[in-house]
Amino acid sequence: MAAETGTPTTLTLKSNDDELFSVAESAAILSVTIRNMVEDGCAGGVIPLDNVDGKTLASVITYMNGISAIPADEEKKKSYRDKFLSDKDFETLADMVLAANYLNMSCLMDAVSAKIAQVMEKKSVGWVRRKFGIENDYTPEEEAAVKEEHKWTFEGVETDDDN
Amino acid sequence: MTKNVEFLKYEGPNLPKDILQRILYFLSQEDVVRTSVLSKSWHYTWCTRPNLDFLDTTFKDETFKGNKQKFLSVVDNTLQRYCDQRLRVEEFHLCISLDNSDQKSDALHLEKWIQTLADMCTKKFRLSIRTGSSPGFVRFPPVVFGAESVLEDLHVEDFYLDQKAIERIVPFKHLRSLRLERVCIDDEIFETIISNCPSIETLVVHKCKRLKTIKVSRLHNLKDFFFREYAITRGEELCRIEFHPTSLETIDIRYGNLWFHKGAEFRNLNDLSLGDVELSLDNLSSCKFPSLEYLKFSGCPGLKGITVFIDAPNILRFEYEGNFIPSISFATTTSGEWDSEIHISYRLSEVTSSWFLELHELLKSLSQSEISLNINQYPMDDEHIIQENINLVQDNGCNKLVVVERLRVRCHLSSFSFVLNGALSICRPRNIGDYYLYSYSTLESDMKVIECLWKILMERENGNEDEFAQLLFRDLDEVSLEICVRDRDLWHATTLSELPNYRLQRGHHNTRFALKWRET
Repeated sequence: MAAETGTPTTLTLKSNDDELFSVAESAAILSVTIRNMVEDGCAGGVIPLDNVDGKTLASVITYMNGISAIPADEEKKKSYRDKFLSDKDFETLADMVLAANYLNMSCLMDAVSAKIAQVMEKKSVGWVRRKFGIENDYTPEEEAAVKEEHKWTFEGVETDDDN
Repeated sequence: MTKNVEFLKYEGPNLPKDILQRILYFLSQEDVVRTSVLSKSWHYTWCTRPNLDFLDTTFKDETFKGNKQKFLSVVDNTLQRYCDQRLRVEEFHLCISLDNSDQKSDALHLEKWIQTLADMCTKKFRLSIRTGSSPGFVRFPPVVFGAESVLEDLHVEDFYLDQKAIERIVPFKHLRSLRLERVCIDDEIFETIISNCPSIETLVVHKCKRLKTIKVSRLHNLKDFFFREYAITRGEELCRIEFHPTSLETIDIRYGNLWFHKGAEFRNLNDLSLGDVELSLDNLSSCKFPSLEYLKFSGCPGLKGITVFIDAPNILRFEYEGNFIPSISFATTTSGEWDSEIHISYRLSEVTSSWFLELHELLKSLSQSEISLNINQYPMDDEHIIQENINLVQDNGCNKLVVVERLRVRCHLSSFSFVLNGALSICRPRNIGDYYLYSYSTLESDMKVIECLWKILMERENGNEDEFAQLLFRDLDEVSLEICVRDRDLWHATTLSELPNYRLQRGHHNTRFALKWRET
């Protein structure tokens, strides 16, 4: 992508798979990490973001541009975030929460965390283990005991073969 | 079964612990407790979550009673464990229902928890407490107001708040939000509670019985006030509401009598919405609203018979809904563009011959704004009154026609052209619409209106014998029928014969007639 000429300052961001993105500085500094780099004088060249891949970075930039175009109206920003995250699957959300954490964008971080929590609602133990890649280190007896202890939390929860 | 899981391990993302904690923060208590079954490390992770969120409705199946005991013991044990392990509880949210039968033991639990949270220096304590019985039947337990606490948010539903409930009341320095719903409460009790909660920012009073006066002079932090009453019971006077106005940002009142002090300055008020206020709003004219952006009146008898001037130089949107035409004018605005939306519903039997003249006056005073005018006429019984109205408009030399962005007329088809003529004798609409075109055929009426308008507007030059109509349309240069899919603001021209095709398509279509008038 060619850097825009003219009034607004444009930054070039580089993902860990070497994709280049140009984005208006005013939108990019929603990320405290990027803002610090700009303040430290990195803005002239390319800003390398070693922990974010191109696909995720593209998505984060869409968000940056979208949210910074909305004036100071918390309700509108919230509904933009809801809409932005509505069609993302679990894997994308997980990538985004890592990126938001690395880029230090607290609003996006909270919004994605809340969205992941919403997706986890009433999901079976097996589903959560698979999605988060959790190794079950309980013995069957231990697991049964924990389950029995918190029996009330299994009301109306989805079941699957793992349970 | 464990084999299967082991086979799938390490498939997912490796989320660091602080991110997991953040995700867990947003889970409900039952969802977060269930994560303890995932693995040993997860068991530890949820155990230290700094926010606790207990809703007794989670336990409300099978036999309610048994589950209530289970609920109490889960809350009890969890809090005890946090205490024992010296863990922080930064936020505590409890939603609980109390009834007469088991109130004593429940209240004891509540008292213990409140004490524990105070000892732990919990920062945010939100309590939602209600009864399963009819409103006003169960007395509110004195324990809530009787103990020094870190309560920040209190929501009470359906209780009877009597003298006993507040006999041990202590100051609630932290309470920021108080919400009373269907609570039976006398003026003095309300006054006592309010005067002990100086930090309240949000006050919600919905459908409370016996409350006759709300006088708030000491809540210097009050920002948002919401009031709703049951629809007026005939003969009963509405609750009278008085404020110290400076800190207020939002006032939303329905069926309450807000009293404006003469000359009051609502320095921070952004949003004022008044519904069914009966008390005369005469003093509004002397008040100042330097920050007001949104103003709405709906069905306010208090506007009848008076002329109101609104000093709100930063207004962005004004809405009026009612069955009479108010006399309202605005100070010159500095905010540039602003909108006004007028909805007038009327019965012809109540209409006087100066109705359109009054409407013209209102439109003139709003002519700085982009006006949407909606006229809804209830079933028709008398047509000559419209003609009288139009005659009066003509006789008064009403030649300054006000530009209206959108005009929408809803009435019986037989009187449509009369009402339209009336409206066109006082204003110049840029658009007449929006009439919806549904893909299903249950709502035919809008289609009929479109056909009727087409006939009036498009065929106006073909043998129209009506001299008056010819006069109205004299300056009308161009008319086009336009259509757009709802929620998308792209209009394009169409014709009457094309409309049936749109109705076969999915989605709701909006139609309007765009009018271009010659400058006069």
